Amino acid sequence: MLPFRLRLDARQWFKDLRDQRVFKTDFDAFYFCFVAGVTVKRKEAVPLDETAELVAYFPDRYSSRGKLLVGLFLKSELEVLGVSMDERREVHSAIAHLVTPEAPNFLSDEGVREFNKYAHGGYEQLIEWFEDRPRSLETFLRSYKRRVDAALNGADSELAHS
Amino acid sequence: MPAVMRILGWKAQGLRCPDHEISCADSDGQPFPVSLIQMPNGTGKTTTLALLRAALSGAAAAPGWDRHTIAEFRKRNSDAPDGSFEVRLLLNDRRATIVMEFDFENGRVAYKTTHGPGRRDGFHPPSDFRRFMNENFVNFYVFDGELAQHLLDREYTDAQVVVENLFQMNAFDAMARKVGEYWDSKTQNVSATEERGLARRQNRLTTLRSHLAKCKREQQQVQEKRADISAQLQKKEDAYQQEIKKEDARFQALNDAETKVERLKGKVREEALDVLDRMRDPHALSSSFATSMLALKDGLDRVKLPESAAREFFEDLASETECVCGRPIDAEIAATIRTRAARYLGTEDVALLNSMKTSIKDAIGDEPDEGEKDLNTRIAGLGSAVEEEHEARNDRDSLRLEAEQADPAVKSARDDIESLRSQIESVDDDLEKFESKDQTQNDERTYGIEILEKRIDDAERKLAEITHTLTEKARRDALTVIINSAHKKARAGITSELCDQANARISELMPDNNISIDRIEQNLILEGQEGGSVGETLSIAYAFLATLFHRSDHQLPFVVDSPAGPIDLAVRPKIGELIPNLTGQFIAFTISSERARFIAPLKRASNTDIQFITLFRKGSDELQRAAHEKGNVLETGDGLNVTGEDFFNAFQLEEEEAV
Repeated sequence: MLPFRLRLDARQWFKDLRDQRVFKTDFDAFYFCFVAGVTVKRKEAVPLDETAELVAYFPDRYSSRGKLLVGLFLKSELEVLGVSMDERREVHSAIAHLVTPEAPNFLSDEGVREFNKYAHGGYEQLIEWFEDRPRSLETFLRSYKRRVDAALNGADSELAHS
Repeated sequence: MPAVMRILGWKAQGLRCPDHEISCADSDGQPFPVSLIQMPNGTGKTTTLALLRAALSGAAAAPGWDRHTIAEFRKRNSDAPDGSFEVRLLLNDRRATIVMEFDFENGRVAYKTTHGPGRRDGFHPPSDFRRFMNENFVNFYVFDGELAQHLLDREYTDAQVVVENLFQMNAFDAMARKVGEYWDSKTQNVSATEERGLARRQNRLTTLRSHLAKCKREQQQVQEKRADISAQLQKKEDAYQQEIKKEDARFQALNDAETKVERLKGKVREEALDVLDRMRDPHALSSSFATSMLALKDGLDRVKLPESAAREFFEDLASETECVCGRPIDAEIAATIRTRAARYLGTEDVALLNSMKTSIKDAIGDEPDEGEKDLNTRIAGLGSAVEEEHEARNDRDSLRLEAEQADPAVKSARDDIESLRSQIESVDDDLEKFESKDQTQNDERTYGIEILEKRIDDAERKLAEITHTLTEKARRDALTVIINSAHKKARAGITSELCDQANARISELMPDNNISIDRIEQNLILEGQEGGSVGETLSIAYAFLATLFHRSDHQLPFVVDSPAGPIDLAVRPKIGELIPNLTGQFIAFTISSERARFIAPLKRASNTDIQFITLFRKGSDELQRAAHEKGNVLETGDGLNVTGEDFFNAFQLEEEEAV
């Protein structure tokens, strides 16, 4: 089973929040990258040696949220693949390809690779959204929420009704 | 080979302490195991201790001490342009001398070192002793109450380095280096046809390694510079706080304002962490995500997914000879069925999807926007807390500004603080390049340590390929991992044993204080508390150092200022009994009030002669007469050095009578 991976430059970007110990693990940085990627459906492949290996499961505060994140990921993937929820066989095939119950993160190797691509693309999105790297948690969280809302306003209907 | 260091004596001339010469050796030139040097307050104990530290560490050599620090060692009311301090040592039974020559006019200290072949300019201790003769290490054997406190503070000491050196754990590094060198030597032997590619790959590896070493050195220097500026900033901020609060009314107002800022900072942090945790729920981050996840769940329900275990059905079918429709299944059809079966979900996939659907339903419920509403309320609360904190900061800053305008000293302290902060920012910018992940630059222009290490890995692999030493490289890597792991285990084992033994000593010294060392990192970490009283801290330090020096094969002197001063009378006899067992040479600077309940137990526990010295400034004729009557006197221009136990023990009385 493959681990989640965080871009080295993304880890550096979140350095201050990690140093201030408000981000308990690198998975927090990974999560915010992933959600940004899913928000704008931006995926990016990054060479392995430009990424840091994280864990192959949903750690700490994410352990109870893992299946929700997989759900969000699957929905996004189906949209990206252009699969409608009415196309039974295609839905069947796409999901079988991406998940596996044997993995602690519920994702097949292919699923982890695609999941990571959202986080990698999400980081690209973050540096477009923010002029400077985050220096304080309170400012970052509020700005992040505003950016996600603004981005989703354009994509709301597609996300909700497809 | 174990290192044995002894101090034979020292001599100070033209410095802030009285001119004096101390010999810690008997008439045969052998050092006394215990030398007690009694110096009344104001005679230069602190100065002498600082000089010993500087002589044993080379700390005063440029760029160590600045002009101001050097000027502080000048004799008061003296125009003499120079002074000197000389310490005589026995290093593995060979004599060595280190001289510090003070040039007060130019604000410089020049070192001269004599050992082996002759005298050399500069600080050059023998190589076996270098690891003990540096600024960090010297603090562990030339020791005072302040340094005992520092043992508990990571800003000042590095206990791990001391443990590593005393227990020769750096042998692991040497081993790893040797293993590395072996592979390096193997890569030298290849056939002439490959020579060209080889030279290129070798050169790249050499350049990368030396560039990485340079970057690491630079990084360490910048980090040390940052620590220095931070310490200066802390001092300035303390001074600023004192200046700004000189007036009572302002003191109260500022205190209130600062308390409020601190309280609101805490509130903002707490609320931000709360918002962060809520945002970890994707459905709370946006109702769009909640709706999207519900749409997935409903969609799966609508297309009846997951259905009963389809994949297993097709896999079973592929093993049959005939299909359910009656047509035969040959090998080709069976293979196609097996391949296509993977497109269907298995029993466990079904369980996973069902559990995911339940999680979505449980987390989101029937109202997809409920989570986001809750998050928005929390964010609004956080926004108000941030506003409040800004206002409180503004109020505090206005009060500070008033104080600065009213008092130039406050303004000057503020300017210094601003300047130091901007220096820290610039140092941080310098440091950032070493953490850079930029891969686009060539080797010479790349400073990111991690990136350079990866490039070295890659360059080593390429070199191993061309020299056909991939197997040796793999073995080197495996051995290095084993050595590093052994190093880690050795360090953990030794520090944990040290803790246990030091804790046993602490409970002997202070059975009722319930204080113990939890672990050793850069500093000593106490169990469940930040620190103890001054006496407790000193006792912990003794217990730790006694264990440390006792367990090590190396033998260093132990020089202590006020060994019993802040320690309770009840604990003093135990410390007195502990000291002769601490190390082969103990030198203590004492004042007369420390003798009570300390000297007698120390004497009882010691199997050998103790040297008693009393050193004081000239001034009292009566005291000088008594000195000549009761001890052996060595006179200098401004001081008297009296050897003998009688005078040592009577000194307080004489001193009181003289006053």
